[in-house]
Amino acid sequence: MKTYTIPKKSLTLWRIRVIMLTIVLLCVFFAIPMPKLVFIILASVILFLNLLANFWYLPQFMKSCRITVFDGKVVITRGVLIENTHIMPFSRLIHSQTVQTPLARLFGLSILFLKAARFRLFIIDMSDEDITSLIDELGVGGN
Amino acid sequence: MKKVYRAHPLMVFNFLKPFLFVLIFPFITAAIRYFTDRRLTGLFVLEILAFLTVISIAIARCITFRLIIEDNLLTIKTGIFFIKKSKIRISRLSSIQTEQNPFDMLFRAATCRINTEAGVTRKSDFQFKLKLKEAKEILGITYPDKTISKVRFSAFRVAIMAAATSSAATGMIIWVPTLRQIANLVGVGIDRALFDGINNITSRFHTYFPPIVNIVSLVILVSYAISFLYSFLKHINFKVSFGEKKIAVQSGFFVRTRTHFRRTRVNNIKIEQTPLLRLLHRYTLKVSVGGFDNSKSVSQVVVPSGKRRKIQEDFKEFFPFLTHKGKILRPERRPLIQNLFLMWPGIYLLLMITAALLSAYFFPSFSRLVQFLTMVCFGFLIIYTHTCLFEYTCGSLKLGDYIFAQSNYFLNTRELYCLKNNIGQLKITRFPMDRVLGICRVRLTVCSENADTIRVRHLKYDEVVKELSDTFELKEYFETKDKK
Repeated sequence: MKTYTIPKKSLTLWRIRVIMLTIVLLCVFFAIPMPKLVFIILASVILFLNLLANFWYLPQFMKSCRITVFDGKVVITRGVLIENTHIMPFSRLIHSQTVQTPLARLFGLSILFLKAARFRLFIIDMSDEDITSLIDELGVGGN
Repeated sequence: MKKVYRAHPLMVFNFLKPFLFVLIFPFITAAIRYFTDRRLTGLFVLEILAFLTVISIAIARCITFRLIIEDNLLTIKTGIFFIKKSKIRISRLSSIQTEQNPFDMLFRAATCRINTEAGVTRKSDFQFKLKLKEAKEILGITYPDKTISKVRFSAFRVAIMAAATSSAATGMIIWVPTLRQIANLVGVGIDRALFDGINNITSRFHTYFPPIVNIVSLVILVSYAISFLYSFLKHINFKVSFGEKKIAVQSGFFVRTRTHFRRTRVNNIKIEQTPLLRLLHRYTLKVSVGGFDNSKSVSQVVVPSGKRRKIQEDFKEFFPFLTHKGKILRPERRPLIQNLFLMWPGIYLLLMITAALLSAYFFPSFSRLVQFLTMVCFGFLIIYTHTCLFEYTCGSLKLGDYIFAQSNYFLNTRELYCLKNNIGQLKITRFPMDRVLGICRVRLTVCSENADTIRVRHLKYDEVVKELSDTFELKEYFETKDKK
């Protein structure tokens, strides 16, 4: 039985993404003409959600993510408020695919998609070494 | 022994089909105009040239088509300049379907559809026309085992299924585009005439509700009738025959279809009940075959309508996994769990009442229409509530070598049977409230071209974990998880 967890740098990457999204949203709100009070309320809500995501949701979510490979099956558990456990036998796997954004490339991380007939599972940013090892265990070609 | 088959000449029309509206019909219209007005335009000459080119290519493609059967190998050769040769092992075939429309019957031809699991949905892997005799011969070669038993379903049972599964939406999907195409072709405003006709008929009825309600009701009724007729004519003369390894299903009145597939290709079995079938205490048995038909669904109806016990008794011999023994997991029988099942109907009821009151308050002129719409929504809500209660009383899951799950699927009820090896994905979901109550929701996805799924809600989490650990050998995983 081999268990993979999400690396700490993945948390940093997602924090950067959330901050970037917040800045974009704030710029959009700033560009749209609206009363000052509405802008302040919207900006406060966005900032509050940003803080919530950065300091509570994202660390908890990363902590909850566990990918376990053993005995011909892959078991993926994740979720903070809603906990999901996916069990997928290897025999059902058709192919795997990795996706890397420019920012993720800087951190050496990739998203892994496991594709079976009519459904797919995704595993958020794992390190390239972990992905290679996982793909080897699953016995399918990556990319 | 090597056998070579050539395409039936009618296959030329199959190749011409894509050009029907852009070339063939304009050419025919131009030809008629030439004979009536005695005028030959430059465009007509161009059309003749294009028509001749397209028809010669179609004839050449038809002539060069070959289907070769040798030992356990089926070879399909197509193309003139770019020759495509496909080789398939007969053992790898998912299904073979032959179809005969009235035109085919006249010329003793049949459309053959060959499917494998590798194909895409909504499209047959290979489709061609052969002589009827040859098409039957191919079915005999590919599925040689003798028929053990044969079941024929009466027109009444087919009518029950057609009535229970038809919907106004399906009817609209059938008649609206057909009407538009005819109107475009003939150049007459049929849709306008039809609308006037509907208006005339409905204006004769004076009810409490506004005229728009009568119009909508009539359109829905006509659409439902068309859908019923389509489904009835598609499934009438329904026969199922079982061989040692194969299953053959035959149906149709104007268009006769005959589908053969191996029993081992059946991924799962579904016993379904629509709200109307629930009233009649009847069920429909469907099998999902990996690689099947040219339609959206990969399911084949095997029993249009029948009693559940009889269906199980008749088919357990052919599908051993239809019987389920062992521990069945069910939602706990207590008021709190029952209320969880009734939570969404309750929320919908509140939303519906609020929307109705607000609409009646803000748009008093439309109060009768609002009343009608609220009544319709209320009808749906009653069916939905009944389905949720069914889920509470009958929702169940059995894990093991043979998997069984029973729950609802939209407004229908569904029982799913399959082998453990055919499970594609198993998902356990726990909401915060579920964690407090120690329950979970389990979703099973059976791997097939169209992936059948079923969700069983509010099962005891500990029991699910225990059964999963035994069935999928996950004991070690859950123990480590619990420790963490």
